[in-house]
Amino acid sequence: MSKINNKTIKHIAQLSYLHLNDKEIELMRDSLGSILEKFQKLSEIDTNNILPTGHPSDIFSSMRDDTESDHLEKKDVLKNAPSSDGTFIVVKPVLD
Amino acid sequence: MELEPIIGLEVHTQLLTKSKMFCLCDANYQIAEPNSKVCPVCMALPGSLPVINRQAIEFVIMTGLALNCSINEFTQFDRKNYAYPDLVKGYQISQYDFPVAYEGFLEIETDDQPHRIGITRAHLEEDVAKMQHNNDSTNGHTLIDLNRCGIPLMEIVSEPEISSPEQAREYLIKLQNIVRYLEVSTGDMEEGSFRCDANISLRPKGSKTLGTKVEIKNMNSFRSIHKALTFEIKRQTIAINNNEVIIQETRGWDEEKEITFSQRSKEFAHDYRYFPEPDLKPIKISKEHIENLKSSLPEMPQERRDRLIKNYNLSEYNAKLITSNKATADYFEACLTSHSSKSSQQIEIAKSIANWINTELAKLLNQTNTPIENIKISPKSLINLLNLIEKGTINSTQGKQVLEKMFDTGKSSEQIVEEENFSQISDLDSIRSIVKDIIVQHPDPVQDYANGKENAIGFLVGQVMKTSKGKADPKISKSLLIEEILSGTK
Repeated sequence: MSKINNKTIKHIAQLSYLHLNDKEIELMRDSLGSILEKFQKLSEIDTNNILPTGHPSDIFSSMRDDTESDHLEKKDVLKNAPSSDGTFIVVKPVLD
Repeated sequence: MELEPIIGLEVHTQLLTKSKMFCLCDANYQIAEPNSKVCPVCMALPGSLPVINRQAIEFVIMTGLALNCSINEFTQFDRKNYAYPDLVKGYQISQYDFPVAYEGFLEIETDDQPHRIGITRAHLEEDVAKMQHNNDSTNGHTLIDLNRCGIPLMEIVSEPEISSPEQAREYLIKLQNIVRYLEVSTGDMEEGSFRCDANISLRPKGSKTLGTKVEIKNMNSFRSIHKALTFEIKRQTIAINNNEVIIQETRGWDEEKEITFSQRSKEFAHDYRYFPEPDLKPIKISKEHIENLKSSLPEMPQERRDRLIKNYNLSEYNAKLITSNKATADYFEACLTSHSSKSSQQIEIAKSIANWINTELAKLLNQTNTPIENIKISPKSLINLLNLIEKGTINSTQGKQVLEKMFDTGKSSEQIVEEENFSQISDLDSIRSIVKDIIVQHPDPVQDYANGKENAIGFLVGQVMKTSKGKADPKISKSLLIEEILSGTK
């Protein structure tokens, strides 16, 4: 039994900025649902005495000293922008 | 129904590192040209990878220790996912369930009552791009400057244990002072290095459950935080008394209209889907490392206040004002150092310095909105002024005028006294002749004094000072006035 419903699919689509039609919502519900079902298997394992793991290996980050170095030329930074005025990156208005 | 406010504060403070949090870009972006301090890491080019700045982690540990927090020996970064143009990666590297520091407290005082405010956590994240909307240059668009992307940002979250706008202000002033004493942040609110969001709800007094909370943003001074909270308490009180439902929402503070308003941006419901940052391994912080940082913590405001009271016999009031800002306390101690007094005189001179800093100098700094760091009067120069007053070259009224000129021009007190002919008149004959004139001109107060109304002498001394353009020695003037009046009545 799939644990996922149309409402959840729509919510995920919205968070991902995807527009799904009704047919695609059905499709995603079934395929995401079956993936989640497979992962449900994992919950059968007893994890009571096991610490949560974020990373597969036991190594830790090494840290760097606080020194500064080169950065990009402004023209190169703006080259990747969808639109720019030569100083700022220009995007569609985000506040009404 | 009597209601009580419950306030929790979230402070974001930029850390004073040389480079950014996860890349080597220059973190001193405030005065830089837009989009000029950016590299592939902070602009999120594919394939770039973050590397942790050790100094930033240490700054959070130091702040955590100063806030009586426990330090996590295992800490890690997590991804906070949301889509907004200020966030180029589409996620912010932040911390979720293993913050650097947790469970501390900060002690504050309002109306002479101590309050202990719990600190939930202090964690590290990266700042986001700066956006501009709705101004003359935006032309209906949103403009983005990536320089701020990746500046190390410490978030300090309080428990919902603050119960008034006054307490909120005290908490913030104290917190700002702590990050400045630690030299981990400029703590500057105007430039956006110290930002505060407030969560506030009301509940019936004595109730244990929390009401619906509202988050207030966009407050960029202690004054506006106080006003915004006061407004919000009033707004929610009226709503609750009218049986309206408080909506859980984010409200902005409108500085001009002095109201909070519902913020409807195109951002939707918070669903951040945190998960451990796969590009960074967790961090192990050894007990030894924590102990080393602990032992190297600088003197904190409370310790400094206690020391000044103990060593120089300063009043609680003076010591509190002096240490309420690290730069002021540094200035005060620099003045003491440059005074070549014997230790027996130190208490006297310390009191005098504190009084001048807390009254006359504070007045000039406030009027001109100048931070004491930028003052043109060197500590040595202030001491020279006090010496001139001590020696009687000028009186303290003149001293205030000289100080003002020193403040404006940066000239020495000696130079101003000479140039402006400030020196005090102390010779008896000159003062006596002014005194005689004043007695003739003001027969009524003279009669009043002769009849035993002692207050009348103050007015007459004032007249002598006025006529002499503030140059007469007030003590000599007073005794000559008394002498002349009494001899006239015989």
